[in-house]
Amino acid sequence: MGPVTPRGAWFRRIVLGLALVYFLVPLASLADFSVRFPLTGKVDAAAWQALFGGGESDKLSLLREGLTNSLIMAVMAVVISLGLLLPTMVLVRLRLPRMIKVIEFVCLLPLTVPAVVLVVGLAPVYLVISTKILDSNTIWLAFAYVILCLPYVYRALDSGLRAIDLKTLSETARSFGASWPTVLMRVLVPNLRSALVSSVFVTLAVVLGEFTIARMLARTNLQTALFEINLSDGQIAAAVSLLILGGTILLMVTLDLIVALQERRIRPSTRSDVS
Amino acid sequence: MTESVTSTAVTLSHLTRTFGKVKALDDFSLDLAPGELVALLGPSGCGKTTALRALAGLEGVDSGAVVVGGRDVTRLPANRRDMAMVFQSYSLFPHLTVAGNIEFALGLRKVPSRRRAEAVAHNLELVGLGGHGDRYPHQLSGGQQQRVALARALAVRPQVLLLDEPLSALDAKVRVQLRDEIRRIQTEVGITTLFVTHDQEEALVIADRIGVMESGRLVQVGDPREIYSRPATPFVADFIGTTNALQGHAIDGVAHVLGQTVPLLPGSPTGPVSVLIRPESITLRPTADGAGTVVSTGFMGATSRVRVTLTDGTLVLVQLRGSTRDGLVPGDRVALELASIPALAR
Ligand SMILES: Nc1ncnc2c1ncn2[C@@H]1O[C@H](COP(=O)(O)OP(=O)(O)OP(=O)(O)O)[C@@H](O)[C@H]1O
Ligand SMILES: [Mg+2]
Repeated sequence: MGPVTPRGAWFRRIVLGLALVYFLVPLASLADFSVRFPLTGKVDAAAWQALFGGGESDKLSLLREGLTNSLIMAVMAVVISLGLLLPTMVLVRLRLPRMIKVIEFVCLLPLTVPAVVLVVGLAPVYLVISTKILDSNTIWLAFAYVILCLPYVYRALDSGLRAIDLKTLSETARSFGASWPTVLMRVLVPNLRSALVSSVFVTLAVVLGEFTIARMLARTNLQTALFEINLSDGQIAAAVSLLILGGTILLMVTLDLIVALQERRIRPSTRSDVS
Repeated sequence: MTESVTSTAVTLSHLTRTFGKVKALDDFSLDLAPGELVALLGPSGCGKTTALRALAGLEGVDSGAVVVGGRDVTRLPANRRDMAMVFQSYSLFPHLTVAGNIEFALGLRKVPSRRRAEAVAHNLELVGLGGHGDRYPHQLSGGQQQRVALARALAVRPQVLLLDEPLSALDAKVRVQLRDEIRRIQTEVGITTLFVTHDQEEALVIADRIGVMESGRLVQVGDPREIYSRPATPFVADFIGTTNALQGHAIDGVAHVLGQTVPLLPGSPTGPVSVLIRPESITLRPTADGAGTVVSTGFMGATSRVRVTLTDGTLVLVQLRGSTRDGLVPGDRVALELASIPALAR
């Protein structure tokens, strides 16, 4: 990055300002909507009271069910997609470099398939899953979400793997007696930390925000629950959306900070006295 | 250290490995005696790394056997062979400190944790990096990183130490320094070592024996002196040191060159030949009717190098002891006198 001229600094501030406005105005409107009764313009905290007042209602239990399902599925999707992709990508890079393109193609494929089309294909699959293999529990949607996340997780891991000397690191560990699981967990994972964190982020975002598949397969997740509630009480839905957004941001910032702190320990920006 | 780390040696027998059409290893056989340092030397792409990786178990072989300490390990994966490697590229684990790197390796070898700290300190001391234990790899210079990699490899007391061009990423001065140190430590610890290099000087200085490779085959194995003075093939003669190819005629084990006779090494053909003569096996005598003309002279401290052209245009490089060059200037006529040292012809 070159030196910042005063004009450049102003330009940056303006861009930042515009971006903030772009993101914050809808949020502010959402907050406003959650406390203002649309027709009369009367301000009250009824929606927030319903959420935190300790009372029980159909809406709240629906919401709780949707949120629980989404969180469980988010965790499942993270575990499955990383558990599937990380060893595969490492193995392919080390042993079958010719297959890299194939794996990449397969992993990026979901990007090109619209969710609605995906549902058409998934419906019969889930019919079998819910009647023959497992049951109709919503959380099995996590498998479908793994497919949705695949392109993003692939991208994150790909850039992480490019940044390390995969071959030398794993062969060194192997020659010292490390089994493959040890190589993966104790040598590669610690050096792929930021790539892993970004794949977790994007998986959380995709799963917590997914609506189409759940709706069309008639399952309850966070977004479908919000949708239901919104039909009868828009204010509660707005308040919950705001909470979810805040919670997600908090989670991501925390994870990011933890990683940044650990990275700082390993890679300080300045090299100390090197002889 | 008095106790010997290993009482075992290595036998590589008839190893073959092909990549597509390339024979990276072609009936490759080599033995390492206990405590010996063997350097594998050869041009780029001749299969040195493949041989080393086959011994480490990082590369499979199509046929042949790898025996370490009397045990056939040909089918064992890398992590179950008792070896340690130092690579050309920096191979320290970036997320661990210097001490952490060594401890990690010790842990993999099931060294009890109470003995690890002592091993870390001892081996860092050995490579001259005592007190650097809590640095991270990125805080070290390239030479220091390779020292740590060496300390880590030594700490696990492997049956065989494998070094794949560990010095080639370093600058010349550090390279020479670390090269001598590797030899000192290797002798001190007494560890069987296979050292891959394409630098002939490195091999000559460091090795007990040198194996010269050419397109997947081992063409000659012997101690550095033998490889240098009695090369088995013209390839070896050319690759190790410098040679002049002088036209001559070979008959009955001697060659007639420039009106003189030079004894020939076994394997030389008869008839019209090129005789491969080392620059230091030639001396120059200024004389008006000499066969050569001085083209250039270069002073190199203890020695000097003189380029001479013969009447047929052949360029000859001559290496003289420091003072002998005195008085020679370009344009002088000189007679070439060949030492009676056995040479190879082709
Ligand atoms: N994994 C591989 N796939 C295909 N060909 C390979 C592979 N590894 C080595 N080769 C080929 O085998 C031959 C020997 O390679 P090797 O790396 O052993 O050479 P080397 O002597 O170590 O060379 P250098 O001095 O350049 O390191 C080369 O022609 C190389 O292209
Ligand atoms: Mg090599």
